[in-house]
Amino acid sequence: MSPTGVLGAAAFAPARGQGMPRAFHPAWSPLWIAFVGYQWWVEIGQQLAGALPAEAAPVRPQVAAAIGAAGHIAGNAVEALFYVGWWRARGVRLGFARLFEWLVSISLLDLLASGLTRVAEAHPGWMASALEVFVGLGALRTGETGSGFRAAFGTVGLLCVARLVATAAIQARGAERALAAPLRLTIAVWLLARLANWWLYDLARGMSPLP
Amino acid sequence: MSSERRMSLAERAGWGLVAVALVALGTLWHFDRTRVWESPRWDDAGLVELRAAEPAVAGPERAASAASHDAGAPGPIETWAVAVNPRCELCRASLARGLDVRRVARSPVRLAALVVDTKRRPSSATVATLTADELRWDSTGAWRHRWGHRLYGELLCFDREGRFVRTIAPLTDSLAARRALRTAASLSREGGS
Repeated sequence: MSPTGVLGAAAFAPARGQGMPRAFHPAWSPLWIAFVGYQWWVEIGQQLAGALPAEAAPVRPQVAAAIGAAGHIAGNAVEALFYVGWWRARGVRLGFARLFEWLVSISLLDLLASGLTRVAEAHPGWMASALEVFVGLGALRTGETGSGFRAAFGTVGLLCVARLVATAAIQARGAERALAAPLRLTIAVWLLARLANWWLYDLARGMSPLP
Repeated sequence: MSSERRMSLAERAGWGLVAVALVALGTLWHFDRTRVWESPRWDDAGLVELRAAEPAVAGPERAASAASHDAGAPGPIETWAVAVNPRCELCRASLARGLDVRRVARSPVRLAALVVDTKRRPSSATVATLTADELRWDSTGAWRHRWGHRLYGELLCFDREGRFVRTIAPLTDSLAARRALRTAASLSREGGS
């Protein structure tokens, strides 16, 4: 998805601190965010459905998937809030709602990666090898044991890079800056988050291997 | 100007908090990963036997298939103990998939359930719901506190002498089951030779 895609001149008239285009017309935004949340709910629900026994109450996976989907959307909100705060501290005003819409939209790349990972795992061989380039060289659970490092950094593929660049590009557009500074910020935040994830995964698993 | 300075102070405080949290997390991680844990043992004194295994016969499936495949085999060469918390549905799924893997691979493996993170002795009703060749209760919390394991549903593999051999990740889906199947199949070849 191109972060530079715009809908129309009226919606994107540059104002002070409003240089970032809207991802959608304001009326469509709640529907779009709900749709992306629904897609996450379906994706997580599919993952859980395969993990739980058939006799398990069907409500619990659905509730867990709903919490997971809400968590993804909330994570986008926190991420947007962080970037807005960061740039505001440097005298640049980004619109929270606009950035949030973009981050939710960009998260479709993660959703795509998640779906492609399942496809690759179901089709080992050349297809899995080809898809690994997109979803990450450590995303497929082909090894015997899973570690926290692989869980945190294994998803580095073209889709992940695209997500980082798109996130930086939309900030650059909003801040009316070159791409370099937003890209450094985005990569730094991503690295810190992955580092924390690595350690948290390892603390959660102890000596047990991850699935 | 004062507003910018306040923002700058708030920002510094925020980054300081993030840095402290990250350093604390990293320190915790370092100590956890460098800690020396005991190697698990199936004959650990803290494991209370709730249901004994039948001698030299791995289980109902093996008994059924013994005549056609393993007649005269010397019994299971390994015990695979699934770490089960009775309230965890994923554990039960992992246990059921373990039984499936053993049946498909016709592997000379005894499939056991190790009830973990349960302070009180499991009731007979709970014991009855867990389908396995053998059932033991980790009465002292060895699995978590001495062995350092934390994921329910994982399979701890022990040799005939009760020594730890390997861990297999929880059988959460068909992919994980396929990986376990490869291990089970290699044991079948080993057991048959």
